Amino acid sequence: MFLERGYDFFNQDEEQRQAHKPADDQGAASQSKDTVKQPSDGQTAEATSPEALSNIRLEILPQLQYVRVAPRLLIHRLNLPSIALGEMTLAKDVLSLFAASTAHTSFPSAPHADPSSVSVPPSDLLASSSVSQPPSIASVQSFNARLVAGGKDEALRKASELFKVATIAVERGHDVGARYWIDALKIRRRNWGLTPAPLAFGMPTGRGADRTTKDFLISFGLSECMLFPRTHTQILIQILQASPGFRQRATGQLATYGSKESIVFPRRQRTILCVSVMTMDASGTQRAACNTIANEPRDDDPLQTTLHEAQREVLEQEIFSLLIRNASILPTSSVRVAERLLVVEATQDTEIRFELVSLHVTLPSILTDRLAQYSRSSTMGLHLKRWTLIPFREPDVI
Amino acid sequence: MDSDPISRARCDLIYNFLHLLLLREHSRRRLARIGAPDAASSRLHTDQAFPLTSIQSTVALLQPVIDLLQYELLCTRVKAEMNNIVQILRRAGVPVKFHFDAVGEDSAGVLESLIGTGTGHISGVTTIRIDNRRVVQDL
Repeated sequence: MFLERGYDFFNQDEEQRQAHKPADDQGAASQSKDTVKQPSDGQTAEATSPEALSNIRLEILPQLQYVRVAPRLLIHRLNLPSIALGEMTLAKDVLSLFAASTAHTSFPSAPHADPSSVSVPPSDLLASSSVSQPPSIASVQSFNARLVAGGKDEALRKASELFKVATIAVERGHDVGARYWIDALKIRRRNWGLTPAPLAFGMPTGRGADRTTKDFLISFGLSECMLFPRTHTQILIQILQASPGFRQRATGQLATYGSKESIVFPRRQRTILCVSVMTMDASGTQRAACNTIANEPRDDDPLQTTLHEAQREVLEQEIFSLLIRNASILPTSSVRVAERLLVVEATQDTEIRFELVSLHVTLPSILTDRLAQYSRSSTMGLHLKRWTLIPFREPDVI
Repeated sequence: MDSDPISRARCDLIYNFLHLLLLREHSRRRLARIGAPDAASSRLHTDQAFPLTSIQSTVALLQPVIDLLQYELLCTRVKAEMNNIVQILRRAGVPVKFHFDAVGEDSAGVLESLIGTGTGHISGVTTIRIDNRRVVQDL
């Protein structure tokens, strides 16, 4: 049936079928005329006239229309198989009626010429199309629906979580960047020297390189921290002086992502210079005093306080290195030098100590400690003391 | 810990004085670098063919401090001795006027002599006027 009428026969509109059928009817009429012209088999052609055929068709068409709808119902109402089954049986009945009538009215001499002269369709064709899925249990259905809904819900939650995390990361990055620039502007406003840091080894410097790298370097050392060698003699001088590169030490970097402090000092040693004078009276009592180190923040801004602190430290270290260099050429006084301690016997009863102490040590404890050492050494007498090196071991602070 | 305010002030003074000396050293280095006449005159005595040695090229940082401390000790001793004399004379009934001025310059002069182009020496005046006529003076 489908081979003859086309696969879309049931889906055709009524007008199409109406338009198609008269054409077929006309073809049939011409065929009948041809058969009329052929007198050999013209008798039976009069048995079914076109009028009779159209009458039959008018009678069948409404039912056929219903048959055309029935498969769609079958498709769409899989969950209602009883209705579909009823419709299918109805369609089967109508079709069989239709086939029987056409078989009855057609004449066997020209079965291919008459559109309505169809052979009886095999009944198992329709029977196979009536097979439907067994209906699933309602609880399973609801469970499946709940599974689907739950899965979608979970996926949506995960997606929202992902977006939230990404938002937080973007926001944090933005905050860090904003803080970086604000810090840079603050430092610049206070007239600290900001210079671009040298790029790390191997970084691209070409045209497509990332030039917006955050690489501010704060140099807070004195301007003549290190002589820039121009000639070989000056290089020699520097080697002789053993210039420790205080300018390089006096650099800080604005912290980029991942550190809590806003300025990073890569070479800070966290020491403080303690100048103490120990005197001995004529009565023999020792007195010691130490400079009061102004540790209180000079500025409201913690950024400036940190920078001032680092600058003070570098200056003190430079002073200490110069002191040590001077100590070797002192003509009149005896000097003891340790790595972080310089003791000068200025006069007979006076002793100056320059000491780089760690920031963590409180000063009074140092002073009492040194005083004890001083009294111990002073009991040995002046001549002995002049040649005695007090074993001094500063705890490592670096 | 001895919290003698004078001693602590002395330590603070030394501490800040060292900073000033460091600044002086830096300005001297800069002048030497840019070839200023002041710096050139300071090294006139050295042969240009040979560079300055490390000892000569660094300004003494420790020496002024020790000089000051020694000067302080000297002043206290001299003052003690002269005070002794004055006491003896007064006990003997001689009218004595005693004047001791450890630092003769004003503050600007002291700073100039210590940090500026001065000699780095400070001086004072002490006067004992015995019987309002004779003068024992120490410079």
